[in-house]
Amino acid sequence: MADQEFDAQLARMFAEHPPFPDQAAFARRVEARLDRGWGLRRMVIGVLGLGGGLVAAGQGLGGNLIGRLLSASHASVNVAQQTASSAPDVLALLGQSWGLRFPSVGIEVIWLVLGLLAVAAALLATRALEEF
Amino acid sequence: MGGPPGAQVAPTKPLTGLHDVELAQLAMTADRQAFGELARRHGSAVRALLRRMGADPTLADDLAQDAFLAAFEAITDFRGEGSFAGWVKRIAARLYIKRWRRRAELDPAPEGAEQADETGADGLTDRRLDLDQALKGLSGPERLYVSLCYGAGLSHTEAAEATGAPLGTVKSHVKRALEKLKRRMAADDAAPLPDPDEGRLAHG
Repeated sequence: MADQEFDAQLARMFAEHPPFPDQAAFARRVEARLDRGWGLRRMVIGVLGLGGGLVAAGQGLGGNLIGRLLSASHASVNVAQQTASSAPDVLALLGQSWGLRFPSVGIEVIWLVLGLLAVAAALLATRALEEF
Repeated sequence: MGGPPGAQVAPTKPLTGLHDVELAQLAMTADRQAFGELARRHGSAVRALLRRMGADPTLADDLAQDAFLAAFEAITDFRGEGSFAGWVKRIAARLYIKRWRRRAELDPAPEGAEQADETGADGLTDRRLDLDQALKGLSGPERLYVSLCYGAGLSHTEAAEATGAPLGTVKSHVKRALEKLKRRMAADDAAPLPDPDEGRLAHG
């Protein structure tokens, strides 16, 4: 038998394999392990996120972050009030030019909106990471 | 399995009607059911290869599962240039080699030692060529390297790199394995098929 012919025959024989009667059960075991791995990954991410959040909260409290934010906020309010007394309100000016009336808002509301935007961005980023 | 490689996935089709490449594309979007269909299609081929390489049935099943999990993790590396089964077989073969090397380090066996042929010299009930039986007549390394090269499609160089053995050693193991298999095949071809009535209990 020629070597090349024998090689081809051997490769064909290796390509053939006995059918395993439990191939469906094997596939289910693979799927189950994939699901388990996926669930575990989500749990680890969740636990790490919670841990990170707790650490951040702890650091924030320990560093008197809220107090400093409040004082910064008050300082901003003072600056805004001084500016408003000496310069025309930008929002009011814009409103006038477009024929709209904006309610006057405090600096706390702006902080709140910025905070909500940050949370929304974080949620979007999490969702994007999950999808891609 | 119809459908050209690289075709767009048709979500209305059932998974069983999709081409491997389409299923792999779905698996890239974390569709675990699509990947399960690939495991159902090609699980037997991977398990058979691992057994032919020398793994016992339990280890072969475990490693085949590990190979499919590793394939799912690296599914974006599969571009449909070769067959999906061939790709997973290579992953499985490398996993087995890792085990084999670890075991060889712990319990080095003489390379020339051939495994016992479970059927014995004249115990074959079916004299037709049976690759699985023929492989049992090879030594562990011969069986491993010939399965790597002919079953998993690795070149001699790739097999040498995967196992850490010198290229010359791989070539000589494959050469000896081929000679033995060829002799075995020639003997099986020459032997007459057994009489199907032989060995049956006589009735009446």
